[in-house]
Amino acid sequence: MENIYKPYLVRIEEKRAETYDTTSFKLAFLDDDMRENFAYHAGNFGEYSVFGEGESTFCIASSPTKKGYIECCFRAAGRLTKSLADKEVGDVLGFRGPYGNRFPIEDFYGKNIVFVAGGIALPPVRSVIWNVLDLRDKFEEVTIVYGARSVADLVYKHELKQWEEMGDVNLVQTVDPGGETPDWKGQIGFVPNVLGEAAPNAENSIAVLCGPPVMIRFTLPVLRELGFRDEDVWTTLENRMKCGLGKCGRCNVGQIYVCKEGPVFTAAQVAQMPNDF
Amino acid sequence: MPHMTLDRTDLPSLAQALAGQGRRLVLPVREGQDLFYREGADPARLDLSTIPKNSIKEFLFPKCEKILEYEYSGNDVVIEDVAPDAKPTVIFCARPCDAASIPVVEPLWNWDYKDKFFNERREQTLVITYSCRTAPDEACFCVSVGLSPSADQGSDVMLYGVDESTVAVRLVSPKGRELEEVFSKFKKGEVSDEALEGFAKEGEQSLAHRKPLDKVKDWLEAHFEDPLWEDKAFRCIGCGTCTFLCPTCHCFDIQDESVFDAGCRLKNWDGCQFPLFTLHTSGHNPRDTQPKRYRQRIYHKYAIYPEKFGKTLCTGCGRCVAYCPVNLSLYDVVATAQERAEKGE
Repeated sequence: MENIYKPYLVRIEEKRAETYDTTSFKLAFLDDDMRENFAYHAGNFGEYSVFGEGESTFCIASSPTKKGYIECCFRAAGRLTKSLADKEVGDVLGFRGPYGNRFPIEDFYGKNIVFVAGGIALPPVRSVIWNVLDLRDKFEEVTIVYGARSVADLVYKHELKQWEEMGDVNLVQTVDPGGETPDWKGQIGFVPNVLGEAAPNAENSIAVLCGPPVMIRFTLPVLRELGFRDEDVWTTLENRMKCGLGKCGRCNVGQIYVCKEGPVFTAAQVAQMPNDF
Repeated sequence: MPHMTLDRTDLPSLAQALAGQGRRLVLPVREGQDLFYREGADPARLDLSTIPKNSIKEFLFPKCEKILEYEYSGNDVVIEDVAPDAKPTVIFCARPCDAASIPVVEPLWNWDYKDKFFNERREQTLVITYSCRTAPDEACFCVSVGLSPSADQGSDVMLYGVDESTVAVRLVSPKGRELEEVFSKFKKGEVSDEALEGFAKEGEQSLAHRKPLDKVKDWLEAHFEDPLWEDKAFRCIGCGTCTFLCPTCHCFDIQDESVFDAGCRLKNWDGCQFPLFTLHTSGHNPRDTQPKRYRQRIYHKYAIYPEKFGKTLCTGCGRCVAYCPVNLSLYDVVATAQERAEKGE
């Protein structure tokens, strides 16, 4: 019987400081066969490990349309993520995955897509964004509303620039009032308000929403107001996880094991869950 | 069909004979005021006076188990797969509630991803169960969860202490039937099926005061928000004793331990009663108060697990009731839920 807790070895190919406390890695599997054939979907997550420190759970931030590597992005907040941030290009890490369910991208074909993300929650959305952009002609209008507390907290700044320059992407960037810099050209305001003002078309549209709980709470009513049905609003639930395999017992919300039945849910599904997240 | 009987005084020799076939032996012995299942204890110390304080869980799912080894060499890392320490084992004179916990947790360790550590130990373990004549402890409530003092779920062989000097043997599983030869060496007489049925009935009657808990799941599903959780769990101190003594609690943590350039990854017992269990790095905690954590334990056992796996995650062993330092009785909580369901509340 196979050891389900045994990670694959991956090497850091690129390291980028996204913000003062947030780092992203491009990781390549050491095993040739894995590098060729590792398959996953937008929404899947993994357990990333620093040997000697432990494992931590993040989404796979790259798009499955990009082959040969995976990316992750994390804030150095705890013991593990701090030691992860200390790792450099060439260092070897562990990775288990892909785990969990996915965004049903094929079901979004032919529709307008509105991405709404706050702060460090851009990475899970970014996987879907690149998945959509790499298959651009399968979708109608693409809108990205991304906000953070301050300009310094925006992650993937170089990609925001790329999206801004794309003629067929409507990018709305915002920072919380007081978080702007003198040369800030984006909006100033909280994500829910800015989304309301941007007023993307809800007809034949899907919304993909990720952010801190407080942002989600205030964004859902705005989306409803704009005419989005809860069945068309997709989000991810983030819970503390250890195994990622439906065994260690901590990520459940009622009878939903987030690691197996999630982390991707519609707002309609979330509304059915007991208030335990 | 008649069943063989043995002299009770032959039980230690029987244990020795079973272990003698290259198996490690686990049996209940007395340490101070309590009984404990211990590995490698002298069979002469076998003590069947009551239910042991620990469950047999630790022999299938150890408190701390190595799941990976690794070594750094420069930038590179070499990882070493670890085989479970799964030696042939005989658990001699397990209690029925402990034996029954094995089939309860099996689906958890096997849905989609199969945990080889549990499975390989399970594969190599023989469970010889000593049936309770009457409930050994006032906290027992196995009949409430569909078991009984002589339930044979999870057992390979059942032993019945039919009188002070005689023990009847019933070979239950195919693995158990393979042991017939060993048992036959100690055969002294026979006992009828009817006699064992009478024995079982006597055991059930000793728990006649316990309620069935068949309405608890439906009630829980409709009462996630209810004053009951604050009322009952307010005094819970979150010590986790209930989770560690429970034969079916299976939550665990994964931690690394290393010295210089080498180390191992460990699977350690964890418990839903600890605030750290669900604490996010951001500081957010979905179950940030003790009543919420207590509610989770009850829901997991009586609503979530039955919904997912069709089994109650509780065998009614009563340890969480007997050893709770603040006398918070799980039975009392679920019986209250049952009562309120019966009253239509």
